[in-house]
Amino acid sequence: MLRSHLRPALATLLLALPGRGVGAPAPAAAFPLQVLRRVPVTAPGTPRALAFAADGRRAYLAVGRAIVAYDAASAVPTDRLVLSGRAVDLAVAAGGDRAYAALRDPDAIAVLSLQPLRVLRTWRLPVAPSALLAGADGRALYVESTAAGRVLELDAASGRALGSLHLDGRLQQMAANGYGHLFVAVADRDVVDVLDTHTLRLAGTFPVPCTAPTGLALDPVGRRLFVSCTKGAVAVIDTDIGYTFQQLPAASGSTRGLFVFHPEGKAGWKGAAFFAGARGTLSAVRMLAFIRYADGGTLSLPAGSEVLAFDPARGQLWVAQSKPAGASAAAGTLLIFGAAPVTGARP
Amino acid sequence: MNHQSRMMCCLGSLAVALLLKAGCAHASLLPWSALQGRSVVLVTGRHDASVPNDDALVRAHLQALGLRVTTVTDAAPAMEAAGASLIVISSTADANVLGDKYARTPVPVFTWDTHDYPNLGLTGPRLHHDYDVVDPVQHFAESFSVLYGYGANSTSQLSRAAGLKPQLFGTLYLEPATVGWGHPGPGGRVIVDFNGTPRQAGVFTYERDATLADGRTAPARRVGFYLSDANFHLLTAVHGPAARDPQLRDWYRGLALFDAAIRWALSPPPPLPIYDPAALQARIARIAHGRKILFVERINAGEGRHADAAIVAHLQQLGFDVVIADQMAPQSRADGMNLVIISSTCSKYKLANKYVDVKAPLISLEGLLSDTLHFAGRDRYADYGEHGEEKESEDPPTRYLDIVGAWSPMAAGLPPGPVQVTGHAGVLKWARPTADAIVIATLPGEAYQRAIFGYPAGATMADGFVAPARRALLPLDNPTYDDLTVQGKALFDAVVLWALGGSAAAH
Repeated sequence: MLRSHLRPALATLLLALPGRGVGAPAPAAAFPLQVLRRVPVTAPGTPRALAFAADGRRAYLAVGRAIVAYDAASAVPTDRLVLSGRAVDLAVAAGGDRAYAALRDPDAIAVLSLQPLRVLRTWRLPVAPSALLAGADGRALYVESTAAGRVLELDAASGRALGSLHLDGRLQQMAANGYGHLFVAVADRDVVDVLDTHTLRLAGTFPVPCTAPTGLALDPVGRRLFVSCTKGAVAVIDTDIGYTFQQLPAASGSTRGLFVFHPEGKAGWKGAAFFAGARGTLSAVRMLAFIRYADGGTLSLPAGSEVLAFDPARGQLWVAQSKPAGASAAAGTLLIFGAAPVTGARP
Repeated sequence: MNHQSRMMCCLGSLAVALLLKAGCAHASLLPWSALQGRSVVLVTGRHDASVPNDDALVRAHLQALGLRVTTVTDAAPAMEAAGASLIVISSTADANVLGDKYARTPVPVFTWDTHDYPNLGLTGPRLHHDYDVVDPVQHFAESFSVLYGYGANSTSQLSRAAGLKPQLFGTLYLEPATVGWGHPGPGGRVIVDFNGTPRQAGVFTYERDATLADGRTAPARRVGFYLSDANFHLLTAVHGPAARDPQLRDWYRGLALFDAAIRWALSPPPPLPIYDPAALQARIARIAHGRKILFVERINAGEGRHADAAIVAHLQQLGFDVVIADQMAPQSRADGMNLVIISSTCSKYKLANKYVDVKAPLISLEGLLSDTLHFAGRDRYADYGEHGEEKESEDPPTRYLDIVGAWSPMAAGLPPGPVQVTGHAGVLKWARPTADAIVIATLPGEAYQRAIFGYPAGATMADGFVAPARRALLPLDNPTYDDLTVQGKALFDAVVLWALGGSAAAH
């Protein structure tokens, strides 16, 4: 019992310390990306998810009861698909030819063809979905229901339920490592539950030494899980052993995260975890080495900016903002971040 | 047997069991629930904001364990720790400022201030030899090797509480580490070592009254730990699926080891044995009835024949049923025995490898059997040897031993320091047991030539051999028993009693 609250009790302290570990603390870096473009989102409703096609040529935004396709290079909308329900999440299949949208009212999964953009079929769900994740092998689809406290595993081809597992607590972002484990942040238990994807059973729990974890970003190569907590911290966990070996400050609030290698190209950072927060923050964790990370800085954004995706082809981070309160025209804005253009370069 | 007889028999058995337990058991570790609210004084240095340290984390951790923590600086007078249950000294404290002010405190001390080890008498004074601090700047390659510690001791209370096994484990999480090690003195127990040598002890302890490196005795429990300023947060632990794999669980023991060491330091030491040879014999006599001892000797030996007879007579007088076996008799003679004693009259060459794996406790009176019995390594005169044997030893005969483990019942209550064990200077054998042994006495002035020691059941002996039951060395050369002083005979009796303590179940 003592041990169960031990590490969390240290969390606040760790963050309050001027530096930890061997060597002097790395100073917070300037955020590596800057806004290159702002693109109005014309579809009504709240942006809920962003995803890039596997070939990087198109981006898809789930907003309201629609999916809007964009040309990734120009950020110009190219297509729009009306759905039978309110989209809450979007996942592109590993093969890249199809995507899945989790819908509410009614609760369902819409299976989408990406080119042309259309609904192939719809699978009804027994629970209200809150998040969706496509397995790396393309065979499974994981549906999370915060309301039901449940994770479902569906056959990605047929929609057949392969498994279902109840998890205690307020379930948040999921991440899968592609070799047997699905991670689920649980905000009110300060843990990440680890599911065995072969059996869809709880394989264990990682204590998170910060309060109310919501966002996850996974580096499946380094086997690092970056866990963003509501009270402003990112824990770096070695997923092999569930051990938090570093903690960094971060913006507070509920977030969603992603990890990318070389976000600025080969010459820049080795890797970064980005967390977009509902309170209007965009935080970065900079990878210095597989055992060393640093605060990568935080940008302030308008509130409601927790939808993000990374375009590896162009090295751009897309963040979808909700419509500001009182605004009537656009539903929101797409902020497209990229490395700052090199100035003074000769043609 | 009528009801009353059965009752008496049961009560007798119970009394014997309790007696054995009392005679051999150490005070057990207190559970954490019993340690709540204990006061801990954390001694730190003055913090430089530009230099990372984990002192605040340690403090929070101790508080989370339920302890009351007061932080003082290294410059604070030792009086400020008076009344505390434990003094914890961080490596951020300056050893030069600390001096020896905590050396004589009767409060347990837990320290990772490696440079302060000599001040506390935990090690000798020579940097790089008696103690060292490995860091990634000066010793880059070694700073990786110390990520791997070895569970040198797996039978001590601390080791058991930490779940330590005789195998490698991860000390700190993967960064090149700054750690300290020390070579503890004769009464120290190495719990964890680095680089395959107990000389580089990452974790070591002294029981109260154990002999320190400076020849004094520990006023209370002492623990040296391998941490440095800023790596407490890197002590290993495992969670999630890996925690369900026993192999992985046993690897990440760093934090468990730290906690167990704190708990051990806070727990009461065993009561000190009282020197009273008559009472000791009376205690043995109370358990001797019905117990069988196999005494293995060279029947009709020349020198030592009388001493062997005297030992047998003494054991019989105490009430044991003694069976004599010749050195050439098969090991099966030990079947059903409660204790096997091998006389020094036996020829090592003729005894061969017999009794090595005997299930009963075993006492060897012959130090030169140390390699065959796995008491020590196989390098004669390096791993084991003798004082006083003509043509075989450069060391003179002696009649003294140094008691370095006065806290153990095996020391018969004799005080730390030299004790005259024989009337005349003679041959005394020694060996260098593994870290899993409990060391009671050394040759005079030879801190690491251990004369009397015992291995608990399950201890990892030399060559990785696991003790099937208790094992002890009590070096009595052929005629020595006849020349034992009262103190020497008390040591003999105490070792016999200790060895039998583990055989209650067999009985």
